Amino acid sequence: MIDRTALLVLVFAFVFAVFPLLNVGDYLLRAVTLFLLYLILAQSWNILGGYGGQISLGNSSFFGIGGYAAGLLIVSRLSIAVSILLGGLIAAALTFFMIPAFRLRASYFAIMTLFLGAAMQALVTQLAVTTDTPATIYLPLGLISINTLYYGILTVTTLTLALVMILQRSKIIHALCAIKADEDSAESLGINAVLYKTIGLFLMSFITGIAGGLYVAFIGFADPSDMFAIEWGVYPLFMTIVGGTATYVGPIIGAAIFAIALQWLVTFMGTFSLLSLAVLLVIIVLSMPNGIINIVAKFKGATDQDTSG
Amino acid sequence: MSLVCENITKRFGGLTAVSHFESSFEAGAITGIIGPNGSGKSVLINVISGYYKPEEGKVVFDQKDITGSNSHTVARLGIARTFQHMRPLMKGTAIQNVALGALFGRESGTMKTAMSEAYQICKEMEFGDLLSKSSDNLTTYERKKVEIARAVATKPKILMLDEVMAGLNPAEVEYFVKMIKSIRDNRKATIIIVEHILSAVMSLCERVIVLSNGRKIAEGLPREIVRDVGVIEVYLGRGLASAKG
Amino acid sequence: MPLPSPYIRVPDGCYDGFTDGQTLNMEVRVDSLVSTAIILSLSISLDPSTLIQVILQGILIGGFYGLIAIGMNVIFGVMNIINISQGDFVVLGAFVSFWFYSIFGLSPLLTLPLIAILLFAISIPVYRVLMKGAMKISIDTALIVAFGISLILQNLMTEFWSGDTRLVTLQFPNITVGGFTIPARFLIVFVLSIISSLSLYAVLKKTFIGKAIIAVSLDSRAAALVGADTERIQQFSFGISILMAGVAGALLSFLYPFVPTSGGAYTFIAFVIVILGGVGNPIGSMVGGLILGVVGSVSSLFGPGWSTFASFMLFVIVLLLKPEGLFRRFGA
Repeated sequence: MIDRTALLVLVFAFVFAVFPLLNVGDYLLRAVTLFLLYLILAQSWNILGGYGGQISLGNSSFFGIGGYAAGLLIVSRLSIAVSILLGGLIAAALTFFMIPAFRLRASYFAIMTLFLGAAMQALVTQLAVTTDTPATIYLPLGLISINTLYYGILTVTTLTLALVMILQRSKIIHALCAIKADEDSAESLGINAVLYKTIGLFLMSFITGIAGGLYVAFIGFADPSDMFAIEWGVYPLFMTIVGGTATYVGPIIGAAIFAIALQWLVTFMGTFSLLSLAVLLVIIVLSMPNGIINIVAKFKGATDQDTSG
Repeated sequence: MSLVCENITKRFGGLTAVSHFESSFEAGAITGIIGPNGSGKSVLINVISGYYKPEEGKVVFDQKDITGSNSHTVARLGIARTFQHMRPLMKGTAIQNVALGALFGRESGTMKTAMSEAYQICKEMEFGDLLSKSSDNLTTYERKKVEIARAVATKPKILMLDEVMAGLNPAEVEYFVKMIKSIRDNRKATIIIVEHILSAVMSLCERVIVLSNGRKIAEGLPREIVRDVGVIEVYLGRGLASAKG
Repeated sequence: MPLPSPYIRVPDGCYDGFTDGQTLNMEVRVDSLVSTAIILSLSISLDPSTLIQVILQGILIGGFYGLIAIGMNVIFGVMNIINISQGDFVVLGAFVSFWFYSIFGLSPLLTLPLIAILLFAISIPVYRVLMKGAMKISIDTALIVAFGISLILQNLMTEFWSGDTRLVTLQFPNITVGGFTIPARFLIVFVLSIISSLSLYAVLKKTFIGKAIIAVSLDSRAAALVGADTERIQQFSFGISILMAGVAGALLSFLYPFVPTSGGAYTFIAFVIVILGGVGNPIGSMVGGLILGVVGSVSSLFGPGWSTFASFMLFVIVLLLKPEGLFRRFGA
């Protein structure tokens, strides 16, 4: 009896490992690399936001810190992998002062993440002005081949998928789902809400920070106005909602749709792309709040996707 | 097991919700707490289960002072409770919700054991078809059953039920009375039940505590309580909310 | 549903909305005084007249902050969500005021009522089309939709009106009070903010619709049971809040320079004040605004970036010590 989710992860890893060998050309390779990166963002957001119901609107801060820190470290001759890893840890460390907010309801958390994202952006730009150094960090050229980077990102994506799968079999996701449904009830069952929310927050911020580092390695430079742009906080929200929050496959579908849609939006909407994304987000969250997965499930006559693996 | 409340006083700003409440609860007994609306019954439950910290007094459970402990700590020590107002259930089937209690609760379970324990409990409580029903499709009666089963799944030493019969028809009330009795018998749990429905209290409780305006005004056997003049006055005498049931 | 408590727990027992039965009861908690005193005492080292000047300015700007906070507070009380787009509606109002001035030469002081009505009108379709449906689905959805509205507003304003910094420069004389010079616009904004805030307070307390709003924010189910049309009231509350945002916007247009993305900072300030002053407590919002204004003003003496940091730290401190805010909840 083979576990469906484990099979999915294996097939996923296999398909995307084989992909570059098919001589698909640079453009498609880059596009798929971005898709894998977006998937990392979506899955990590889903842990705390989807399952746990603690919506983060400011993942751009973790993305930015992780990426920016990684950029600085790489330029200081630290190895790429270690730099990215450290970037993730620094991003996770950022969440330390947010933990007291977990005593409050989820809306407060949401707005705090939003402010954090905006504050980070202002801070970094301000610091650059004060220290009179150009804010953008350029990585040395030819540091890493597109192929190696692809496999590096694929590894992280697969690990993230595996992590969520493991979490689903552990108490953590169940605790988060209970907390999402009703925190008081969860506490009455012996669930330490603050602890589990903190775990979820740590995982989300750590992984998102790593994604930031990967992105910097991918594009070759770290620019604060890009890295800390609020868009990076909106993207995972969009992807997970479109695909289906609190589901395993939802973020995958959402990331795929998003990757295509973003390309289209940037090409045809130009500067309107964030605006269009926001409009789409509002429309989708109002018309299909449970995402594509659950619409499909309804057609099949099944009940809503359950959370056990 | 022992639960002792010593001189518990809980204030909200200028209002004293519970005033100098003292009582001890015997192992295996079913104790009822009754009183008009606003008499402090739910507040007392919240104090005991760690959701409120009392201004004065102590809650001593198994000789340990648990006053002011976190609600999840209290749950892990073995005090379970249900909520007066219906709370949303986790998305999933009824049995998955019950399994939550087994997964956490007093003794940490594993994913495997949780489901089988939940199944046991659901069988005992005669869930039948309810087992696999989705949690968004339940009637009031079914939801309450799930909530109680979930609390039972935490393997509590004490189970506190807060107005769990509200909204049930007489047949359902009777069934719940039987169910609660068998929970006490099978699971060796001590039960504290806050109730408005006097018929249930009469048939279920071995001892009844009466609260009014945050104070304990009477305590004793059910049949003594209903004859107590003070109690009758509190319910009927001054034109306040009349007793149901 | 009982008034939203900042604690996740809304324990059954119905004492959350409790007051003494008096109409208003303010307790300035010792710890809030302590934290404010600490910040102020740090500035003892400074020249006292500078300090007083800065405190005065802080009070004046605090009135403005309180005005924005009141708007957010009403929505929070009635609809149980934090309107993330509140600050952006303020900026919208500021832009409208700016264009009235630039194109028609009308002073914001004249167009203020018009802007208020305009924004109230805008709020109607926003509520009907977006917020109402979102609230029906879930609180989280409403939060996301509010976020979406914020993004949409910011981007639309940037698209149509560019990212240039705007300010309505009105020539007012500087007013000298007891040896301290204050730019007149601060005083004007303060007075108008207080008047507007008090007017809203009066509406809530005295008028029928105001009392209905309080009833719904305290317990929407009970209010519905006694015949309140909760739908209409929510729509009206949303409208009132956006109207207040419009008023604040008209004042902002000549108070400080602004850009389309300025809204975020004001949203957060309002949020901090709502928490400080107590959810559903208009007077609390006003006083909380004053406190935050003073704190921000004093800490800006230490450097430009410090005021935001100080406000944020005050917020975290209060969160840790007293999450239900500094003041009692407001009740009818």
